[in-house]
Amino acid sequence: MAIIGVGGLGCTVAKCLAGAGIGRLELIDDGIIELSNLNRQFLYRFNDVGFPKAEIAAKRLSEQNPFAEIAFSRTRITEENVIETFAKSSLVIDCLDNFESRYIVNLAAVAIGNPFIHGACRGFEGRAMTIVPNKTACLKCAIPYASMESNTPIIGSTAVFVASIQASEAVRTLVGLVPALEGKMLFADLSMMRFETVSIPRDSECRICGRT
Amino acid sequence: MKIEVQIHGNMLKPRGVAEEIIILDENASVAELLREMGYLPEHIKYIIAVRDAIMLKHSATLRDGDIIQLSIPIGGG
Repeated sequence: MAIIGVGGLGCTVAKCLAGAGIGRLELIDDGIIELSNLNRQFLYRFNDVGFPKAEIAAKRLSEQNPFAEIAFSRTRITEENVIETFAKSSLVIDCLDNFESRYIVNLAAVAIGNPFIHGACRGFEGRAMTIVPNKTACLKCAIPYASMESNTPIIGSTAVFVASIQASEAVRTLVGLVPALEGKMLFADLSMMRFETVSIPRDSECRICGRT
Repeated sequence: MKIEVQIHGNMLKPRGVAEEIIILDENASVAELLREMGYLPEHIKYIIAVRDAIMLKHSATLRDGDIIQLSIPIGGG
């Protein structure tokens, strides 16, 4: 299983899955731990600031579960390496922090036909969706245009909430159960305690999956 | 026709309210609703509209009494 992005979402997803006894995890992130990360990236400590996220996360997860194989890659996901990531993993979890990389993951998922679990957060708002190519809407169907982003900081509890949903979806997928968010996006607003699960229809005109 | 709009997230609240009633002509579309609400044309394409827990395309036709929820994409992590 590959976790792309070991930030606010990825740290908690990784902890949940390592604790669940997932045999092999690959962590992919080219980032460096910053002081501002520590409110939500709970694999890291104050003394880790300045060190690579993927490497420190792998170390902490190995301490948590020494029987799991924890691999890491200090790289940014690109169109060149994303196919290899999917080919090596039974499931990919999108814990990224930008739409450019998310769309690269989505494109590869549709091309190869492997599922991935999307998650995102900002402030008190969160989103999660399980995407199964050729069966459900893809990320581009759900979010055709990505912009209007603000600099609202991410509340740690929001990231943990969304990441826990992603981990639940991952476990359900791995044991052969239908993920609860297959083709549906969870819209969570923790400031209002509003949670809505919205069906995302496939878009026949989608530039990514519309012709498949 | 009368449309109830529920707005999620502060960025989509040009008038600072979370719920509005909008009066539109019969058979108006989601895009027409968003224009009527005063969103800038360059921002409209980013807005996600939901009715009865199903995401709508902006070309979808609205019905009298619809409850439409609006939100925007989130990319952080």
